[in-house]
Amino acid sequence: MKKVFIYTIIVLSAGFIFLSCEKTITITPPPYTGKVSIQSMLEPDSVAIVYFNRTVPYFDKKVSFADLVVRNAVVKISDGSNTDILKLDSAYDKLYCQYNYYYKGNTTVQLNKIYTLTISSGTDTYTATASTANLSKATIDSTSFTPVFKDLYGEHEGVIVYFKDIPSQTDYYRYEMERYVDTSTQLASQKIASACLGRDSVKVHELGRSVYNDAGQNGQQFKVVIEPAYSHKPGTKGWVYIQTIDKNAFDFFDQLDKQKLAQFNPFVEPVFLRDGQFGSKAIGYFSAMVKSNPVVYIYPE
Amino acid sequence: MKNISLLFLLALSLHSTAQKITISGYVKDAASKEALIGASVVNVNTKSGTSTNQYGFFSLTANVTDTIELLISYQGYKINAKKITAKENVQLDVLLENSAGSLGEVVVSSSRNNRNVQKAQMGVIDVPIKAIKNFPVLMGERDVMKIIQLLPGVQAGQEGTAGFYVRGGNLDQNLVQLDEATVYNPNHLFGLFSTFNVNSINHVQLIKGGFPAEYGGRLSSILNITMKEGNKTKYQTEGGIGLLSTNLTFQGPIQKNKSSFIVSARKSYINLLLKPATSKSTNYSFYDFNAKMNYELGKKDHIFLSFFKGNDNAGYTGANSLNYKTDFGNTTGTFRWNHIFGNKIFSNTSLIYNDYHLGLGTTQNNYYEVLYTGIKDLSAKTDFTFSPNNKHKIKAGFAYTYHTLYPSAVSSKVPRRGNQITINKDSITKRLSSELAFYLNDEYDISKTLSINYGVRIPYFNGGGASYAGIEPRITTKVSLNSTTSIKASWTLMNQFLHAVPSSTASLPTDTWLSSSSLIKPQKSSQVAVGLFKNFSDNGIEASVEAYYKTMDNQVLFKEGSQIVLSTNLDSILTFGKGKSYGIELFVKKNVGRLTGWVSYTLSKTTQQFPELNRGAMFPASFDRRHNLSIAGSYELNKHWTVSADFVFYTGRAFTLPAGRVTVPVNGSLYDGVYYDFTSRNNARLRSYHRLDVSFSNKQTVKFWGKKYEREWVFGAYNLYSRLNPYFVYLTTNADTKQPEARQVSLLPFIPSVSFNFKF
Repeated sequence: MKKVFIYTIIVLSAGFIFLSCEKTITITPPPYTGKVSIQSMLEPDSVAIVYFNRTVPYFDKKVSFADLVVRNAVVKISDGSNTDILKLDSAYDKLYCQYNYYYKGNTTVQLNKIYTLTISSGTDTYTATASTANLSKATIDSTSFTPVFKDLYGEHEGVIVYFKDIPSQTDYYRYEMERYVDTSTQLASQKIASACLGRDSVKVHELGRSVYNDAGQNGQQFKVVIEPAYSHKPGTKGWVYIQTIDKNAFDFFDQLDKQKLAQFNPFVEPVFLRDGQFGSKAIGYFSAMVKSNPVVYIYPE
Repeated sequence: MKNISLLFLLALSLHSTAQKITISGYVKDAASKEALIGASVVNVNTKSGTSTNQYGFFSLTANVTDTIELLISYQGYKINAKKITAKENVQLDVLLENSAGSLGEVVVSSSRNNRNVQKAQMGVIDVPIKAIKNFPVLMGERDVMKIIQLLPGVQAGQEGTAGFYVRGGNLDQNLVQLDEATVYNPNHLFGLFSTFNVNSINHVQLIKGGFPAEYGGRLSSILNITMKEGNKTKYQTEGGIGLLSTNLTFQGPIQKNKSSFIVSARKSYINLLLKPATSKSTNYSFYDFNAKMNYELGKKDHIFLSFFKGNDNAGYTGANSLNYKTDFGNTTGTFRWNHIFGNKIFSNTSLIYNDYHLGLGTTQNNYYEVLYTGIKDLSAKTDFTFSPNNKHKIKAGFAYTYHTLYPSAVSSKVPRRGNQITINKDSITKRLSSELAFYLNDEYDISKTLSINYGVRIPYFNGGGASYAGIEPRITTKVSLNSTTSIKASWTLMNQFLHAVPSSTASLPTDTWLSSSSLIKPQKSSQVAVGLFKNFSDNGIEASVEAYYKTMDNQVLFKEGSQIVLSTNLDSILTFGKGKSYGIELFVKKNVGRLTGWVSYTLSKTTQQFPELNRGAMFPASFDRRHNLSIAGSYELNKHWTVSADFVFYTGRAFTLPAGRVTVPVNGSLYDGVYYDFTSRNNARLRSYHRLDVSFSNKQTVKFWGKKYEREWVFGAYNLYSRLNPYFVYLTTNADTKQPEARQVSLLPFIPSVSFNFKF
């Protein structure tokens, strides 16, 4: 009996060394003065869309756009001679079963113009400019697929896109794929759980997390390998674009990419977003882009 | 060198013209003839005195006309009084008898050691091994590092990480030396045990400020651990059987009173005990081995050979937040030769080898990091101590070290299929460098009330395409207000050429050691400290208040958002800044009586500022803890039973928490619809840490097979009230509510222990 007792103590004590206990805790949140988030990327021949939301303390319970959108703001976009006053609008996102809110313009964006965004909300005014000049469409040469690709984000499958850089100017690029998904599709490792989608499918725009510049590769052919956000089957069809984005968008999304990496990878130091076009009062970007002509893409596996 | 020679000549001339004799020799344990380090030797007639050095040697000058009365004392030993009448130099070896067995210490009150007050040194704490043996036992093991972490100005890392922080310095700013060899990772079990087997240790000394010029290479502290030499009179075996490990020490004379050896080994068996209950990938084993031998070639020459090897091997697969596989260890070897020139110059020459490696693979949140960091050092050094008279103790010497570093790391997402990237040690690009230093130091008693300890160290570094040299002045002054009270002040400059770059986010220690280069400049510090030292109850109670202010330049951290891939040049992802730390340390220590122990409290603040981090603004260091309280005590209930306890409390570690959340329209991308608004680095705190440990020990002398031996049962409790102290916190999103939440991981709850120790 004594031996059993001693052995029990030994095993229990030794076992504690490997015991890690986890629990959800309440943290006193650091003081936070809320800001606003402004996100707008002008695309020629489309009307302007501006997402204007408030940021919240990290542990705040508000998560839906209905709670976060800043209503009653005056949002204007001007090209110097014409001013478009944007109106609050919404669209239902069946994938996430929620309304997305945004300010939408009436007139289409033109190439080779400089636009000024002015948002007035309460006593605050936010201003930034974006230019649709010097944005040239990239030309996609070809696409392919790789089941295994290693990059900063690990080993994954990838959509490969070859395209030519526009020579004699600094360009910035981002990948986009348009395709349809349904509840049989998986986003990352989780199956899409949408109570609103039913048997329907919905169009999504997969945006590449990384953005690229042509430093050192001016005028040369680019190869980018993109990890698909959604699962696919042999024969799944999509349309691939390469967005030519401006420097404001590039700077913002490059920081965001690094921050996301640090958020997921605990071995990477956290990334603070630097003040952008709106200074310290608002987070976000007001930018412009043009899309390449689409290329049909069919997943081989 | 020219200056050093001149100083020596000056001192020698002083010596030759004086009508004095020199009393020199060693102070040793009467039973084992083991050297007693830091023993006090006082000339009662003149009230002048000295203390023994690291080898137990002392040299004292006295007037020839004197009938000299010496009092020799050492904590835990009976005072020895000697009367000497001599007209020529005297060689005197003093043996002190252990006072163990009596309740409390029987002392001549006026002669109790008051060197903490009277010596011109600050920030120095000696911890005799006897004191360590009186403190609570963690899982059957007495531990040096746990005691160090209870001292003022010293902060433990959180559970599960190795090392300690001293006066706002990072882990890498502590130089831990075992018989002069650097031990880069002095811990087993991620800091739960130290690699030092208490049975093989003679003495521990921590220096955290007012550094004498003989020490350099680190900004924040020097932890000197001296191994026992081995019993010179008889063979002795002692050991212990604990819950997790067993240790055994064997020592004895090779040639009686002239040469001895000690061999000590410790091995864990946790993995065997847990095998039935855990998965294949969960295991832990460690071992350490110490050996030392010494030989007295004559009255003037003594050689020592020390060897140490310790290693840990562990794996754990459990919660998503904590998975690892690691192998790390240290090997050191030291050859030392003591030579005494005349009666006044003591020299030591050492040849030192050490080899450290840490291999770690850890996975968190579906990302992994693999790192290998290794250091091999070959060193040679010579030190001279010259005591021309009782007013001066001059030290001079040089040290040379050749470093070979093997730094490599890689981090990536766990692949969906296939293997993770591994690091082949042979393919790592070595970083070679040399470090050379000269120093000169003098402890000068200007008058009975005023003493000064001053010196200079000149380090030189070459490696990584760059060379750096520095001048490090050191000065400590002491003004005695009376025999039990003094005020001290010190100023030191330090340089550091090796850097362990910490990750602020990883839960396990993933620090990578790098040497200075053209990109990585040497870390530098300047520290000013003032203190009031006061002894009470005839020196039975020591008290001190020290305040310090330290600035640190060229501090190293990783840049924001840097993920290490195999091709990454580590230098290119570092960023450099400065640090500042200041604080007040209170310390009250009771050395005598049935109740012994101390209370230590530190109020401090440590900040850093990096142009590329935190938008250039100042931020708290991750190891900044405002309050740090330690209470440690031991009470002899009776002849056999002793109860010991320690309690620690400190402010939680700082970490970075996003202050704001920005929701974005997702519409299908690898963004998860949210990004962070960070307002400042290290803006949140883990919950405060506190813990109470208690142990009861029963010592008996019993007969076994007709022979007497000592046996001891120790019953302990670690974290008695099972406080779930935070190890780290990570952020996640609740799958149901979509709300962000924080989850805390804790490691060690209440852990009972029982161990059996023996000695014969």
